[in-house]
Amino acid sequence: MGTITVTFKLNGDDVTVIADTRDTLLNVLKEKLNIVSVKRGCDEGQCGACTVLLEGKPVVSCLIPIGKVNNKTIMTLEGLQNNPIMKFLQEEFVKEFAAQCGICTPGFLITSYVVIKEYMLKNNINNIDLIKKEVAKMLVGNICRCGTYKECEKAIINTIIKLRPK
Amino acid sequence: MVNSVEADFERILHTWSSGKLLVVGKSVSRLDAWDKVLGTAKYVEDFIQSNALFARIIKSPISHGIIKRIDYSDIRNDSSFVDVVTDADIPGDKFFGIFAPEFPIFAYNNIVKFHAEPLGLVVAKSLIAADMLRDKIKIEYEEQKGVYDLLDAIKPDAPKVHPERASNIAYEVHLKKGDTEVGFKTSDIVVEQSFRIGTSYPAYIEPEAALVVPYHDKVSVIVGAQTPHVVRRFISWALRLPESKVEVIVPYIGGSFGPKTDIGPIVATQAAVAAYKIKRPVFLLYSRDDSIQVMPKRVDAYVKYRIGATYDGKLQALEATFYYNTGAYAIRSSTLILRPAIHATGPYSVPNARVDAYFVFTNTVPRSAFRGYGNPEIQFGLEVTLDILAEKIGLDPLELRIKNALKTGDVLLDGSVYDDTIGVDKMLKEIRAISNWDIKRKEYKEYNLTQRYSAKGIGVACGWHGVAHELSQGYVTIRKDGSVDVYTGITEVGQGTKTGIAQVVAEIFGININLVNVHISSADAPETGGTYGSRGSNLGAMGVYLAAMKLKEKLDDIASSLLYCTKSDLEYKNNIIYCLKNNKFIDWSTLVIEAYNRNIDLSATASFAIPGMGSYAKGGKIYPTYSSVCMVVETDIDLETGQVKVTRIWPAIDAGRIINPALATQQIHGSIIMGIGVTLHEEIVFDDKGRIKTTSFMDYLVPTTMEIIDTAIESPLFIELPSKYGPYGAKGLGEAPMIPVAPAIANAIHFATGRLVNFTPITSEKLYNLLRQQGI
Amino acid sequence: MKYIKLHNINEIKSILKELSDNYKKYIVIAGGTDLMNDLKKFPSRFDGIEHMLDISEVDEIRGINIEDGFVKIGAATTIEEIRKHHGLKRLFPAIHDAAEHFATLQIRNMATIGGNIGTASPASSLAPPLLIYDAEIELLGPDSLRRLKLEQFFVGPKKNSLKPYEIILNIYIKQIPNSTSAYEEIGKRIGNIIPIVSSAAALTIKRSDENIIINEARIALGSVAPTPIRAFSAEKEITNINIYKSEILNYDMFREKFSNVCHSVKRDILPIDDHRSSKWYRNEMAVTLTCRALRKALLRIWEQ
Repeated sequence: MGTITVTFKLNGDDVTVIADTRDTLLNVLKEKLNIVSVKRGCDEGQCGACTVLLEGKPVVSCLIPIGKVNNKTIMTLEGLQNNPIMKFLQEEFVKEFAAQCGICTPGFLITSYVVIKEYMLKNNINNIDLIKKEVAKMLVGNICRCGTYKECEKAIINTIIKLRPK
Repeated sequence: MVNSVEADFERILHTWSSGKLLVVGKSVSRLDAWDKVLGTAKYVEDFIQSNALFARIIKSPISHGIIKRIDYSDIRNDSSFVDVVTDADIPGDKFFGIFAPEFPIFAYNNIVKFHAEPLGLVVAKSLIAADMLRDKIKIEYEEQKGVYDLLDAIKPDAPKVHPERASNIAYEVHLKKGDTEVGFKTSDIVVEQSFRIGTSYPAYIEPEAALVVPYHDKVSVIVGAQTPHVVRRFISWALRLPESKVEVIVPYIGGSFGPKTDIGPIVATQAAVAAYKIKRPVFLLYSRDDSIQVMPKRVDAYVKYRIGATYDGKLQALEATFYYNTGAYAIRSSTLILRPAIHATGPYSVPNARVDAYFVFTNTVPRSAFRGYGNPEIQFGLEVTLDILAEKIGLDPLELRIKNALKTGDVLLDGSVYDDTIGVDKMLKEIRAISNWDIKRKEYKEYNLTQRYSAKGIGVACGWHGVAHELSQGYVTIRKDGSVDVYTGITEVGQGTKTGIAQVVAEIFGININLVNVHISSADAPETGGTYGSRGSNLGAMGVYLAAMKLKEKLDDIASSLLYCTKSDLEYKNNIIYCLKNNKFIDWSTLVIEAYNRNIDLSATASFAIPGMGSYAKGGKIYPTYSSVCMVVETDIDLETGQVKVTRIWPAIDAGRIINPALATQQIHGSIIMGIGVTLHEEIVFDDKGRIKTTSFMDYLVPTTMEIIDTAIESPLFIELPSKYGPYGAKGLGEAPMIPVAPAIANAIHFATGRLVNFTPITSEKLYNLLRQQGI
Repeated sequence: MKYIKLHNINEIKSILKELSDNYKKYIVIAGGTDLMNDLKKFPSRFDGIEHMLDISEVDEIRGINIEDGFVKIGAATTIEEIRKHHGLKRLFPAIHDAAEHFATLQIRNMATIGGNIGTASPASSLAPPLLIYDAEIELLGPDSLRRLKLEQFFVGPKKNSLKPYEIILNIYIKQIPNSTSAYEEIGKRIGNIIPIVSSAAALTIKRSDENIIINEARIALGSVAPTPIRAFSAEKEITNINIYKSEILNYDMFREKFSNVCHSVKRDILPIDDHRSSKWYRNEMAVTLTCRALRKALLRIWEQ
């Protein structure tokens, strides 16, 4: 079994790990770096519980071989604690009861955060139904088995409406 | 204090009608919401420490036979290899089961009875090493003939799953009420129908995992389990340690939906055996295919109903026969058929009934609890048969149900009298009105005649679910600063017990809910029975409720003397205790300090069990009360593909007092979405040797956002009728809303297409096939 | 196993040359979304592998450009990049449709077109839309560069005609003037599926105000044969069909009119039974989806 030394920026801090070449980013985050917010779900890339931001893009960390993140930036919920968009979103999630068991919640927040930024920055769509459809499509990779989709949708739409430039 | 159950009931009914509640009945924000939303909530894997070893299960490659050898010679010398552990390494009890020892922790005596049955663990220095090493283990075996299909297993010549038993019938239950022969004779119409209900996978997102840390003479176990006392008990039996030397920590759990009452102890014991032997912390993790292949699934079933009624629609007789598949081991003993047997008549008055229930072994993955615990399967059959009956009689199916709605005073199949409130007819009348049922039944029929490629359906179904009764105990202590710590063995799996129980306690003391800290999932709390049967925030919390009431009575004594007030004039509200007669008051923290100054003990435990209740073991009255649900469902059916979309649902709930409407709505949404999944597109496919082929989330398809983007779930109608069987009259509702989803969809499809759907899952291919059979 | 990140085509060529005797000892990774699951579930298959060559950041094979009348899509272009590309959406709408439906956002951010085509699954959702645009695939070896028609690249279920020391460099597609296209798929649920059947159709049209003449069509299907395939028999049925807007808008009328065309697709396919679907259902859905893809393509005409 070969090992690899990887250096990357995790939530703004430089981090160096030695891992098995075949190891996934998720395994490294959990086993070596004790990151709590990133969750292991299906471990097959289908449920989105392990979603992190790699160079700002949401990816499933269980399918990323650790070598790929060398010299890259990774953000998890821990790194977005003071981000105003994330804070709004988290408040809405609490207000709208969008978490039951909570295991899908960090993944939902990470993906929604990116989706909201896209919508805030770009969109002229005023039709709420269209926005809801786009949001649903973008979040198809985040599974909630407890079934809080309606509540998450509400929280995300509320945040989009609140934060959009008028 | 009068510590009689009657007094408790009186108290509950009194609080029901006593006017304004402060915190119970309010949609208080979940107390664990911020933890989850900040990402600081810890689940089992978050407790891994640096010296932990990693384990994977070794799975049987055959479905039935003998394991001759686990050959790990190829990996023995690998630097990452640590050990292989099997049932030979279990010092004590090797079988698990909450009612009887049914399931071997590792395959017992080298005999395997289902494909992928765990033979042992491989333990390594990292997770990736464990995976690589596991792949290299060679199993030598001798395969034997097995039986894989439920109906094959009951044939007289079927191979026996357990040769020491007389047949593959693991358990059977026969219940009777009145005389069905007479009932059928008085019926004008008799209908008969059979059904096949497929199995499902609970598909909790958090995989099965346990971390066990051995110390010199004790073990510390971190596991996602629904009943921590059971974990502690079984590990103590398996390792031959006293229970006080087994510490159990249950952190947040990433979903369960039923089976983690078994899975928790099983996985924890598997890990504990390794940790105890190797004397190092072991983290056992199930991969997703391990989980699907090995861990308990929902029962699949063959159900047959025969129902007779008179022309006016009054039910006269009902016969239900059902065979439930328990897989290779009956982990839940007979309870998983006893519950549905008792519920087989539905929330309806049926004067004569007979139920014959059989739990059948097959050489497939064991079956256990899954949201509804046997009720969704039997009630699917009932609710669809009722629609067939309605059609035959020429009566509207919703009307038929109203005519036969269960009433207080009716005798149930366990011989008990239903003595609580019930609102089935009320619910049906209300959803009939708000859904515009009558108009739509006409309009959609006409519309469908003009459409060739699509059809609109509207259907109704009800369900009921008895709240599980077990000893409930709790421990409440008020700290010097006025904060309250509550200890209970009730677990939080997402359903909101932590918040619901806190609301109950905050209500009793009239204090801000943030002063109440509920230590859920505590194995150190007094035994409180399981978190199942929808009892968590209600009957399961009665011990806590009564303990808090005991403390309130002590505080009443002090307050009444301080405020020169009779106890009945005291009001606890917003952290202040008022005397209503003389306007004197004292604040909560001062009262507490005064109690401490007087050396009054502000800790209390309480124990609650309803006298005269039966049990699964003894028979008698099994459920003190029942929650019921009715739903109207609308569907759009694509006749060209067989795809069904659920477009609108009106749920109505009778669960007594709703402690927290927002949390209750969460449960209803969750049940509906899960119900849509298991009804329409979740399918476990077995091959001809009972091996599961759909072993990943790419093949087992749970609902995504896109499944329900076009599904409008109307605000639930809560029919809050005073119930005396739970704190503030609350009954449970974690499971009941799941039950009517499948039959309501089937009934809607039947209405839209004229085709009877007597199976689930109603996949697009199966529905398409059904439609083609008679030329649609 | 050693992990090696490659930065340009020269590096690829030299390492392929270096390893050309040991081609069984390396794997090439782009997005990794298929590979990582295999690596985790079947670790022993990768026992002899000594090198993991990561080509995802070779800029020369990322991006969408025009070259010699073809549109060139670099093999390391992610599906999300394809989905967001306005030019592709306008000129190759079927490809955009497939990218829209592809898996999930998280997977699209990593998965590449080269990886998807290289996996050569008969259920590849990108393959049918590429086939209707006469896609060609460019393969690089240590001393070679060759271009094949995509049909020739697919050899069997998960079998392609890559030589052991070759990698996929680019995919070329050719725009069809005066055309429209669409892609439809069906699975056991709506979101994130592996298609049970998929169908892509491109139509060359001549348009006037209220009616359209369809000159010719290209139709390709997925999940109904050992490889993704063109439905040549069905294509032959579509020559110079005159159709009114109302006949397209009305689903019943459309189905009537195109019934023969859509049914003829059955002659081109060879579906199997598997745990996702029976061959019978696949046969039936091939017809329905082809009809729907044709209709969707036609409805697009008025959206432009």
